Amino acid sequence: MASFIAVAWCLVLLAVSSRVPDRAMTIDRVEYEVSELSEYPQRLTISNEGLRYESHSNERRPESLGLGLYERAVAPGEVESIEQQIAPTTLRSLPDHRGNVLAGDLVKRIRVTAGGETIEKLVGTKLPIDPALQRTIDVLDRLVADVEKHPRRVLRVTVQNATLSGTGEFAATVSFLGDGLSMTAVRGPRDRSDSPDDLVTLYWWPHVPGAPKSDVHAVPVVLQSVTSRPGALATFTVHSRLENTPTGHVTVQLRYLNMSPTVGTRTVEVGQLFSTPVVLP
Amino acid sequence: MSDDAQTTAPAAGDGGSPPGGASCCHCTDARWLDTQAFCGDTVRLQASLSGACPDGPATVEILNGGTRIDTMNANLTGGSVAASWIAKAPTANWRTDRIRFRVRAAGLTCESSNELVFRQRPTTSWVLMNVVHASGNGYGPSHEKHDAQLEADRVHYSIKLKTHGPPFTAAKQTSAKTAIENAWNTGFGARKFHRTACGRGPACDCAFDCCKCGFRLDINFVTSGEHVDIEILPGPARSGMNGDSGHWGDPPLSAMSYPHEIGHMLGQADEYSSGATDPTGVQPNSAAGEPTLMGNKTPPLLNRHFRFVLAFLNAKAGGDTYETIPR
Repeated sequence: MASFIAVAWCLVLLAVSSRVPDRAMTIDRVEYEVSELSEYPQRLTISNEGLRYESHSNERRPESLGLGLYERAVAPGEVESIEQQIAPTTLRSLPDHRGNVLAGDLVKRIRVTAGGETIEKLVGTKLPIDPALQRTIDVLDRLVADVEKHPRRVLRVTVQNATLSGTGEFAATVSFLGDGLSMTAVRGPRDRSDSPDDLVTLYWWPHVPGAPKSDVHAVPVVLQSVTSRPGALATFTVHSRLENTPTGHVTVQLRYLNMSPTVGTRTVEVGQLFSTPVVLP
Repeated sequence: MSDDAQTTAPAAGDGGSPPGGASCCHCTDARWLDTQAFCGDTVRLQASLSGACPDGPATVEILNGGTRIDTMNANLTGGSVAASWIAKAPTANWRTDRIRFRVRAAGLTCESSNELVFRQRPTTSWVLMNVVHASGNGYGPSHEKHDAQLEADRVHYSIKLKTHGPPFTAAKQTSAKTAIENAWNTGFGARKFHRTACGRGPACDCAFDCCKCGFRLDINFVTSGEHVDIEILPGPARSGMNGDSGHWGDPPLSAMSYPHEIGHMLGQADEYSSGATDPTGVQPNSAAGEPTLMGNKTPPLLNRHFRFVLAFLNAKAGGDTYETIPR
């Protein structure tokens, strides 16, 4: 009888212990990467030192502020709250797309370092995502949106006075501005680059209200530095020629690309910066 | 004049006057000991002279038809001249050239009674290559998938592509085909695959394809029988690919995006640290991307990018191995 009670008691203890959360795992660091620009993924880093977001592309959200560094301090108890939402012990067991992501696919990668262990999960865009893992991704995406409200050193672009003539001549004024507490710099057309890609590229497509973008054309532009408008890091005039534009409106968008972290002795933001699309008659 | 000085074959040069006496020096035999060889192999020849032939210097002239293509110094010793020649194709018609030689020694000229011919590399018909190369960073493999054929003078690859989604017009197909073929064919540049057994070594200056082999990649867009079906995405957008599937931004984010993606179909890994890197380490990677087509998408291609082409050649060359030169 005593042995039976002892065994039963052991079974009860075992059942209880399996339901008690593992309190030994405390997050040291969370990294969340999204490979919008394959060579330089977007990276959110969470630690007790703060939340830091490095942006190298605004391709998916050209209306966002820009590329560069966003940063803020953690609020009291925030890391613990994030830990509860991410739940590393649960994360460890979630299925992901490891070994099945196509080279060049948009990859979302989560790395959680806790208790001396690093848990990594990654997903692409071609396979279904486990719902629990998607909830974790949603948490991190919300944190990114929040940190983006705190620019520390961010480059953004504005396009003004855009015109398109009846013969397809495009002209505009492009200004690069810095936001945040620190200075940033922009590569100019005369700065040396080893990239085969142009500093600024113009994209245009027929504007069809309500229809998805299609028949997109990329054309080179001619940049000319002009006196910067107040508050701008650099201002250029942009000229290009659009061939065979359809009757009706067209949408134009500019992309600034720099893949070199330094130009001479200057540190410059790396990445691709898209202007907000503009519809022109 | 005695007939003792006549050669065993019609003399092309001096017959010489026999000295007075009973045993005049004369040619008795001149032949290749090796009658077939790959370009670059060392082939042996010998000539025998009988009679009172004084030891002394000899000259060996290698002949293609009536044209002297090489000259070597040798020695007549005990009535015999032995020499070796590193076979070297004299013309672009090396496959049908017949090489003879002529020995001049002791005032005589002896011509070979046989000929040397060049051995040729095997050739193959088209084969489908379908090879999985693992990737690092959690990515799926860079799946090598294409047709390959070993031709007389080159390894020839062919990739057939099909697209779906928004129209990828004939003009865009031509532009993509040109960009990809230029990147990989011009990128192969002045390289050659060269026989490792060639006695001239990696600095071989042979101008023909006898000990050397080239490379060519052809890209064609098809409506069926494709190696991979590519989803076209309205651009500017990223592109991704391996031998199983792919998506191309149209227009792409980089002028070299399509050639880079085809690199994955040739088994190549990304050479930037966040990409589908090479777990074997043959292709390095760096944060900004190595300055190559598979790194930061600048044009240079290096020998490592053709290692699987070389592997195909070595698998089909009948046991004769090749390397990429310049190294």
